Amino acid sequence: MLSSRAHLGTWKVGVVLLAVVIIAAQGSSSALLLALTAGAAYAIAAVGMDLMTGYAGQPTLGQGAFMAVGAYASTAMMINYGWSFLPAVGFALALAAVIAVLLGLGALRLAHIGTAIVTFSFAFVVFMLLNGDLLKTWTGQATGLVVPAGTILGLDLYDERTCFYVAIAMLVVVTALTYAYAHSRHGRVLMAVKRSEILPAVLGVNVFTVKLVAMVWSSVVGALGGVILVQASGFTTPELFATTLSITLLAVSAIGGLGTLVGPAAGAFVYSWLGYAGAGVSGSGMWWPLAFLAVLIFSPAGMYGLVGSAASTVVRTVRRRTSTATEVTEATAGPNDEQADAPAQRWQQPSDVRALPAETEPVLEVRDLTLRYGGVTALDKVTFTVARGRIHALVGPNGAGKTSLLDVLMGVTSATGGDVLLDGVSVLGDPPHRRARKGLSRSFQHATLVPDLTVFQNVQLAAENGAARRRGADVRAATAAALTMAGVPERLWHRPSDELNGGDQKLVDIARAFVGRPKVILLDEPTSGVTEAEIDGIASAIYAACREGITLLVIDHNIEFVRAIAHRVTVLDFGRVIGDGEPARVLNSREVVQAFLGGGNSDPADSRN
Amino acid sequence: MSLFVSAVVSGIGIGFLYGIMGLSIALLYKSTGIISFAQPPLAMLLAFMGYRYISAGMPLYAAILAMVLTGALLGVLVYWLAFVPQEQHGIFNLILRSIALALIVEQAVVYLLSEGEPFLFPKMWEGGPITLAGINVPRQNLVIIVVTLVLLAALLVFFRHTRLGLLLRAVADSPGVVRLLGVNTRLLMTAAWAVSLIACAVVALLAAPISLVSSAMFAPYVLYAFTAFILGGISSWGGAIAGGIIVGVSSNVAVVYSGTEIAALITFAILGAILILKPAGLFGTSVRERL
Repeated sequence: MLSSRAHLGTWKVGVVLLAVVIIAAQGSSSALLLALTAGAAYAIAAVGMDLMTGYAGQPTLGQGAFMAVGAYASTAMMINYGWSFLPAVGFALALAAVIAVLLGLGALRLAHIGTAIVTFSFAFVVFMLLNGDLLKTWTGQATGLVVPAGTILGLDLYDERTCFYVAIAMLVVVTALTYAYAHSRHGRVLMAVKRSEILPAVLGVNVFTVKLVAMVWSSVVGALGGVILVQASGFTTPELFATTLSITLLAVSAIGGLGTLVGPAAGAFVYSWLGYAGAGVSGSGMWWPLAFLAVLIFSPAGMYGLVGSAASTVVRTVRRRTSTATEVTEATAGPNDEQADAPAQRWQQPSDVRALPAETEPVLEVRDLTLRYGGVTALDKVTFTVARGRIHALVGPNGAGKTSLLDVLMGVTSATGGDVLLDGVSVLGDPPHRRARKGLSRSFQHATLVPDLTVFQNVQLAAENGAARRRGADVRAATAAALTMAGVPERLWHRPSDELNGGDQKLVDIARAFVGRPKVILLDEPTSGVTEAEIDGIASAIYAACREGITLLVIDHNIEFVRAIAHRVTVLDFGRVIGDGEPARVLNSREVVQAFLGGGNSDPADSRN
Repeated sequence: MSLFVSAVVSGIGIGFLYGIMGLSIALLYKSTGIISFAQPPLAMLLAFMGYRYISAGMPLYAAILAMVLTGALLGVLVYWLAFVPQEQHGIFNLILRSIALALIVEQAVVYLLSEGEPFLFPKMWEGGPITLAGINVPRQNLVIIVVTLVLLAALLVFFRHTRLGLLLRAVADSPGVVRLLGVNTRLLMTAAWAVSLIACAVVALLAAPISLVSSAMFAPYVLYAFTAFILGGISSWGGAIAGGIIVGVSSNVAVVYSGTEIAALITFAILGAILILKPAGLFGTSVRERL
């Protein structure tokens, strides 16, 4: 919910939060100290949950249940089997990891809602088992268990103050590790998953694995929070882990600010502190969810975001004041010079692109491709060949089957029949991410950038995954090269991607499709929703990619644009190929003209043929 | 054997209840795109309202009618108060709102209405079990089946033969087109919430005589109704009912032979298995994201 601009100050806010908590703990009240230790335990669980919910956009409603797994499994191993503290905790965390994998196998298959449903049900089942007699040897049912105090590195957790500092140390370690993970290559993928499940797959990422890793981390951290909570309280009961705990943890995290780690941690401390300060206030259980709802409606980035966006508004206003003048001249200077030419002439192939020999080997072959939904035939034995290193256009009126074809090529939809060969090998059996790794890349009709990342990070995401899978400095070099190739002005590179205008977003999308140096780039409606001046930039980007030897399949309905840029064109109508060949010849043929004009507008004499 | 048969028979009755709750979630999902986690607590609130109407002296059938109307009104209120403001924040945000709402309603009932629970709720058709073909069938089961069929018939007529119902189906298939046609989609969403909560009111009035009115009465529905919903293929109404019957029968047989915990574990295993083996559900078609 929060873009990367706000992460800059994360560690500073974290230090302030820690200082406040530690100073507050210096008083003599042992109840307050317990509340703050419990706050640290909840904060650990909340930070873990934030990775799944805030970063990956998969709301988890079972974090309280994972806390219970940690609390009960560690305690039961100590009481029932005489294990010492650390091995017992190790067992509890491993158990949480195994459960997370099992849940993830089912939950992560259903985009967005699967995690919520499965973890919510899990919380219910766990609460039931804690009370029931199936596991009573290990749970002590409703009365619960007395928790033996553990020792870590010679520190006795029975001492309240030691327990508090150990909890704080754990919180710092967990937060640092989660932060590092969230800002790694995997973390960027998670943020992309939140934007769309298809996007990372198209970039060549096995989304499932990445989500599963996040789920395991989130759950293990939750279990650790549970261990600490019952070490502080000295006992464990089902009431500590009621299903409402899971939702409350989500609520306090959202109030603090999902996707910031520090926000959820702060929320957890405040929650625990209010429990201590306002104990016995009637109806207090209602205020958290009410505040949660209010935050979702009025400030979805939470308290952290509210403060952060106020600060960044100030920064942006200052920046804009100093830079507006130069931007205006830049924006108007370029296109105006060429405004004398008609757009179609400005888009014309440059001489070196036009001079490429017509015949090369095929790189992409589409054979008898058929797609039926129920009674509708969206694609009817579509056959055409795309030549290596050329610009091939695919056109057709609305409903001709262009998007269906693109979906089948990328593996988002399964074909009913036919085949697609990339370099002579069928790819129809491959899932989207594997096709991407084999060298099929695409842009989107509505540039699908990840709003939480900057322009540069969006392209970097593609550079680190998919066919390229570069690392380190190589990634940054490739990213910069792709952005330059696509003609994205350098001053925009480190801006949050949602601040760009439509045309620039399309260029970033093209850079992203290009960065892995794929065999073929599929451009989905590059000219839709942008101005004519912006189309100039898109045409240049296409020619730049062509000069690098990359094959382009451009799907568009702007006939003038296609006529100007393509070496070859295939025309679809009602799911069938009605023309294929040189643009000048094909686009002037009677059948094609009629398809675009529609039966009603054409000459009656023509339609009789 | 007769134990098994009676477990199956009462499982079918409970299964219909899970199914209607699943249906309530499915039809809201289909027209608004929101998976609501608030439906079970909202149904609980409606059961409490029904109890209040009866204890205020309303005759049973008047109270039932009042519950249904309260459900419709509650749907409208919930949609306009919690989901209309700032709805541009996106579907993730809206799903989280339903979670917040679930907890608000639950806590509000606990603090404001639950003192002295559980409360008795009268049956529509009092009396002992009826013997049909040698099998003892509890009367409430027959009531559940009849009322569910009436509800389904009413929904069928609504969605097939009324203008509002047809538009709701259209908005489920292609929201953009309906907006282009100049239809007020707010009105449609309002109707979807109202219909969904009428279904919740029906679950409440059928479940209340069996489980009694209490703040925990619908707690198991988190597992059972959502499993029915997933089994049915998340956007299929008939599927949700069929999924409910599968869940109801399997869990009720498990309860009779080995207790509620095993029943919950079996249902949870069914939920996991269907997601792993056939995420589109038994009766649904796969839904995919469009870019």
